[in-house]
Amino acid sequence: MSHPANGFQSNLPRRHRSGQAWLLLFQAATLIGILGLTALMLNILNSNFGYVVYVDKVNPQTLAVDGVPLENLPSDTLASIFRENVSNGLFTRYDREIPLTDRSQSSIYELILDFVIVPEVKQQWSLWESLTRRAQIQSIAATDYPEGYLVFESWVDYDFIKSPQSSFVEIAGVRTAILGSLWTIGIAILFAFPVGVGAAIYLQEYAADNWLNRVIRTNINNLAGVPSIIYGILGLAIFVRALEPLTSGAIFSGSAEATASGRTILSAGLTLALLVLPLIIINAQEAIKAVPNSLRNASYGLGATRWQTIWNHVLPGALPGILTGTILAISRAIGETAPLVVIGASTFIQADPSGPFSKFTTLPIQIFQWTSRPQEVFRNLAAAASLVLLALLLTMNATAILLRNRYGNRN
Amino acid sequence: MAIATESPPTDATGQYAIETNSLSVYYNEFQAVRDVNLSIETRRITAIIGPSGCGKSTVLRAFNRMNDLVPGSSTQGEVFFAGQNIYEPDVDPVEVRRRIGMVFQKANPFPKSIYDNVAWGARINGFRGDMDQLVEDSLRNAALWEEVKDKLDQSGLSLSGGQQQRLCIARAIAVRPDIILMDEPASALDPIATLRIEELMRDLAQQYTIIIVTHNMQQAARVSDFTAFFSLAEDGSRAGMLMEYGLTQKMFTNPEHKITEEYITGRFG
Ligand SMILES: Nc1ncnc2c1ncn2[C@@H]1O[C@H](COP(=O)(O)OP(=O)(O)OP(=O)(O)O)[C@@H](O)[C@H]1O
Ligand SMILES: [Mg+2]
Repeated sequence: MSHPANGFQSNLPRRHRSGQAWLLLFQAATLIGILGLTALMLNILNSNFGYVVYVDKVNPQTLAVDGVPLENLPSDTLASIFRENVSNGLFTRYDREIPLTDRSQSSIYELILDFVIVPEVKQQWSLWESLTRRAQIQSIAATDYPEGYLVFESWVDYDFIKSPQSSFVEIAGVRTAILGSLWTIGIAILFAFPVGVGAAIYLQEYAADNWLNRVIRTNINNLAGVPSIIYGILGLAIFVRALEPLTSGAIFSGSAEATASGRTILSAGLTLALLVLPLIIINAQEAIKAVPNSLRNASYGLGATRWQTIWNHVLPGALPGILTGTILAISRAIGETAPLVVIGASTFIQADPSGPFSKFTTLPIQIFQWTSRPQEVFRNLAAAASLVLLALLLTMNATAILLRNRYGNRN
Repeated sequence: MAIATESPPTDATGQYAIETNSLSVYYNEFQAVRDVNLSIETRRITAIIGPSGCGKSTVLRAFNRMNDLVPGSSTQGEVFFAGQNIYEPDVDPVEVRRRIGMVFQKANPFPKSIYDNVAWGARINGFRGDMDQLVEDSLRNAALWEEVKDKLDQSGLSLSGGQQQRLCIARAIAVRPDIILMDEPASALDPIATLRIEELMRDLAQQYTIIIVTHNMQQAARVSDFTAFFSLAEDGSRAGMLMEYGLTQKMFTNPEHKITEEYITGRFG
């Protein structure tokens, strides 16, 4: 190409080179991000699967009757085996919960498995070890635990999801935590969504542009950056302490059945609602701002009132953005641990939450507790619970995205 | 609501649809329009012309209180419509805007069906009659019916630019206004679509008072009965002022002021 003489220098190769360099940088950045995420997933998977050596306290073969294996025995035989092999106290407890005569064969079999046979984890290996050192693991298991048996275990399974918390690794599950998470998130969104969207509508469509409203707007942005533990302290002061009669449910039931303490699902949900409120307000504000003014003018020009304009044109246009903000809020709230620890999530709880006034635990708190146990084997439970948490998060986000696509792009 | 509900003619002589008295509009401290005294004839087309930034759109928006929606704007003076100063505190701007409709420079249909685009304004204003008929009449009046009658449930955004603008006109006349304000309604359209809109305006002028802002001198000459020429004040304040107002024919053949002639003939502006 000829080179123009009027003061321009040929710099095209250099411009292309610098463009290439930037491109490389961006590719590297993307790669680092992908590597980080892959490492995270691999780490979770690594602790989720692998060989486990179990040793039974009682060999199930010794419990067989007349050569019929334990799992095929009828209910009443199983019931008497259970009675004979556990302490009186334990038997009475379970018999009182649901009388053994009313229980199904399989549920009695499970009781025997959990309290009589009691398979105990003696040693466990990660997925990586299980795949690479299989022969070695098998020989260790055979020599060190001659009476034990080696199983390739998936720590997360249906039992794990449906069982309540337990101090026995083998039967511990996350049912209570999942329900607790769902309850708290539900309450948080129930409060934060209408309040947040309402505030955003006011700030964008009604509030005059004066210094007071500017201060409010700036401060909402700042609130979004406040560390979550501070919201925990706030929640403790307001919901757990000051509003205890309300959050413990005492003023509704009047009965002493309520926990008589404000450390309930309601307090947790409201604390999370405060935490995500700025997020919802900011995103809704941005979404409302993005609705073109020409649409508002068209509406006003026809003799629409402000509210008719907002309801018929601004909100439908802003809905996809508002729902995106809500997705972000859910993602944030579902992983919060610190504020819930502060307001007093239960450390050990087996009963399903029955309503907003129940004590609670949530998945991240359960994970936190399991990782802080000294025994190595609880790490596997934590990894399994992490997987459940991620699955829950993805399901909720997918639902929100579906909603957004369904109602957002109607036009 | 203090505006008389009967249709114009409204003032004593029955001649004027809108009369302004010392109308000034400010954006914060900046005076965009100064001391405009203008009487718009009923059922005629009045064109507003003038160089960019001289306040044509501002004046137009002052006629139906759309300027109220611009943060920091304020209006002084009086604008009489139906015998009433629409800037009196007891006048509801919502009612003013229903009686004085507006078509914007850039076509802005709602992201709704063609039918709903036309029906919505009537619906919110409490129309209780035969909606299908109203939609058809409005689209016919806007010379769009034949093109869209088979796809009324399609999005208004699926139409071409010229069709969208006619849809906006149909939408404006569906609420049965007395006056239609048009701010450069054809500036984004090709010559054929522009001609269609101009023909449409001539038709509409039999029923409505039309005020149109345009940068196109031929258009003003072709379509309007009266022309108002605005220009910036000569004292350097950049305030827009009404320089000359009268019959279009006279203004385009024998303008009173030199500056008008210069603008019309394209030597300035
Ligand atoms: N929303 C606003 N805020 C502040 N100033 C404005 C606003 N709208 C218009 N102005 C100012 O008011 C003056 C007149 O503007 P206006 O839009 O009425 O001009 P115009 O004659 O319609 O111009 P054009 O022919 O380019 O459309 C301009 O100086 C403009 O900068
Ligand atoms: Mg303009």
